[in-house]
Amino acid sequence: MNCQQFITLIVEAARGQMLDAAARDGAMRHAESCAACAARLAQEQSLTNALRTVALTLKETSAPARVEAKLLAAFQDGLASSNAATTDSSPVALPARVATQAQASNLRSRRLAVWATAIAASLVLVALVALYKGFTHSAAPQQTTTNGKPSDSQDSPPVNALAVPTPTLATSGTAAHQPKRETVNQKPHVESARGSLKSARGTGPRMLTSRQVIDGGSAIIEASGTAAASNGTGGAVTSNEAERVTEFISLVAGAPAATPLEGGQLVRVQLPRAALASLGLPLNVERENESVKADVLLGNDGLARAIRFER
Amino acid sequence: MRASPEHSDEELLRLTGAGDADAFTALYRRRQAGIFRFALQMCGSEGIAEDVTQEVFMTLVKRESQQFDPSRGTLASYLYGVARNQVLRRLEKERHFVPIIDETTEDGSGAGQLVATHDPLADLARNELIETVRLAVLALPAHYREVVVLCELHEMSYAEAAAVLDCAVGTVRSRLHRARALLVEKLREVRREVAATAPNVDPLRCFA
Repeated sequence: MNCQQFITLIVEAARGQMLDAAARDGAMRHAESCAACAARLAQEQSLTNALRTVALTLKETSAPARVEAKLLAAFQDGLASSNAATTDSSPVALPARVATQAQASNLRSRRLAVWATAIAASLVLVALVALYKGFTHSAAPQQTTTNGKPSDSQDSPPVNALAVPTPTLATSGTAAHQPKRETVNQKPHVESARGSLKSARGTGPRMLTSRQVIDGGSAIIEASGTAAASNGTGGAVTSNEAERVTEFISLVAGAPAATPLEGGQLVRVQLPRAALASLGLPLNVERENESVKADVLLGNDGLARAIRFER
Repeated sequence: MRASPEHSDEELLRLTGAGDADAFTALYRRRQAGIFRFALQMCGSEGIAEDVTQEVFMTLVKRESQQFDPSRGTLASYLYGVARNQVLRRLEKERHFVPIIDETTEDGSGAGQLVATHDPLADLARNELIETVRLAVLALPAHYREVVVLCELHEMSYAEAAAVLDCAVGTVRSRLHRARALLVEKLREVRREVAATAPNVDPLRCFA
């Protein structure tokens, strides 16, 4: 055995814990032949003795009696409260049952939290997808044809989120239904429930690929540019063969009846019918579980300004 | 079934969980001294050691000991592990504070330890040695101190200490080697300091 090997065993040798007799004998023989290692071993043995002396001085030390008294009192209190909390008379089953109930309760709340998080995440995802689709539609080339014919928008399936490009404006009192998509500088108006909305006849039965005209405080939908929009502010609900929709209902709390809108998008969404009740609209309880299609008018800031429902 | 000294720790724990106060008392009396000493040797404060002991056994009262897994070690190891966590938490909390030395004992050691019975000089040397070693252990970093306390002062095997510390046996062994080397170095420093200050000591005061 050399010094290096001896050093690795010196602590066990000093503590008398070397189980391998051959290694112990080898270490002792090395210590006899090497003065430095012998001195090191003596030092370690001295430390071991000092530590054992310290351990001996505290051998009889224990916690004060008041600790036991406090713990016993707490134990009895815990037992009493367990007894009061349950009708089970079995003393063996009591504490375990209380603990099991607490664990089950914790598990339930943890599961609820997980489900709530998952639902919230999926809602956020749906909203993001809807917004993304809205942006891509508005950035895409114009889908309506300039000759008044509908584009191939009918081929587009009914989507849950269908964006209408930036609303086109008409000044008050003008016909303002030329199939143009510019005029973003003028301010459209979102109508409140009292306002009027006129939707012109469209060729796409369930699509709103047309430009939107808001005239003199009235939001007017012109489907695919094929039909002229009335510039009146009359009827509460515009009849449409393909699509019957309600008025726009303002979603901005405390907003005036007609809120100026710099521009925005119309997004088709599908909502549970229960949402009708939340907006104060009549709800057929028998069809409560069904869904209803709606158009949400989004401002340029992405916030929903108004909503209308398909009838 | 009544608790008796023949019951194992695990049986006493089961009875305690079933509401047997005698079993709880038996378990406490069997294990409290080791836990108290471990906390005392780790932090050097009787007050903290008392609090730690109370907290450790409160886990049995609160049924938190249901986390105890017999396959991972003995109940004693589990209790030492809880005590260790409590001590480390308190040391972390109180590391910004400076300990106040009790004026009645001047050097902070217990007055009872200085009472001479047979040979005053031998007792004084022994007490000085004990105090020096005790302070050297307390000055070690916590992860070295705990292996010294468990393996040297509580005479646990490497495997038992590893179960308490939740680490490998090899880790315990290497930490103990390093801790002992640090202790030797500290004690050597103390000896040098004593030797350097010895001529300035007034012997009259030493034997007063």
